[in-house]
Amino acid sequence: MDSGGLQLSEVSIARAIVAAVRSVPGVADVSPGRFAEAATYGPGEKVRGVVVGRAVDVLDIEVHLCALYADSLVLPELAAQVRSAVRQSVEALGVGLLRRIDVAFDDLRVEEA
Amino acid sequence: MSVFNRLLIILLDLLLLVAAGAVLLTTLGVTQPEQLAPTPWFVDRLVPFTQLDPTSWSWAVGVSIVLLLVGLLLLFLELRPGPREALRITLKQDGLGRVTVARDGVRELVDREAGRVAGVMEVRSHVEQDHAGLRILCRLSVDPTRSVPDMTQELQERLKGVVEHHLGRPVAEVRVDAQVAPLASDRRAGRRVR
Repeated sequence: MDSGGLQLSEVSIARAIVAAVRSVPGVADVSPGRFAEAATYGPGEKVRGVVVGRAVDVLDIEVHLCALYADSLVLPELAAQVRSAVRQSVEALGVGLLRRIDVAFDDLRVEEA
Repeated sequence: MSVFNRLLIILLDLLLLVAAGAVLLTTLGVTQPEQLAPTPWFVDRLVPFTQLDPTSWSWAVGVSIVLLLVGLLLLFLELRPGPREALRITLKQDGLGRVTVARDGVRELVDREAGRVAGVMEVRSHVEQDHAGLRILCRLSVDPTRSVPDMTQELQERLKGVVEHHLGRPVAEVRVDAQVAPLASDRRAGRRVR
């Protein structure tokens, strides 16, 4: 175990972040990316919707998601909730400091009545 | 400009560059006409440029250089990619990073809200962002039995309120362009809402 924290793979971190983001009310799902694929790659697998970049002991996270359209939807507030969920998820893993969390809303999904 | 017109201009431009280049090389004596011209017809057109008096020689060289420069500039202008608008709109940027939304997503939101206004038959919107905030341009096909000024005002107020609420960004302008006829089809068809 590295003295700076547990060394989980980027794919494992991304998987945990996806689960955390999906649990945020107002998030329909993560998005694979609208203009280019947004994913974290590992040996023989990839996790769509989250891009995890690691430099030394800091993490840069990019989250792509579809928001659930509702009259009460305010995207900056939802982004703040998503960032909070990502931060809690990463801290629970103990994998290093978060330097950056970019949130990209790729779509606004309207639920069929 | 249509693709055919652009291809035609590029082709004519290349012919201009070849011709001006051949004349310049021949006039300067760098090459002989027989080395440049594939057929006797072309050789006959270039031979006079090997027998110019000093004044005509200067004119030929000058005009050839000008035509080459013009041709190169035209080629550059035709081949360079056009300006591309940003694909995403930035809602927030702070020490922790950026929050963005896809421009198409905002446009779809605007189209959906515009379609809720009574009398709007078809809508095609465009969203831009500058230092003042968001600018929305809506092209509408409307029901001719409705009051267009009332419809326009309701639309502007609705769109400004909805977009500012959902995106948390100020809307600097909502411009409405209404017509009775159906919107002309283009690569991106208008959204039929009724």
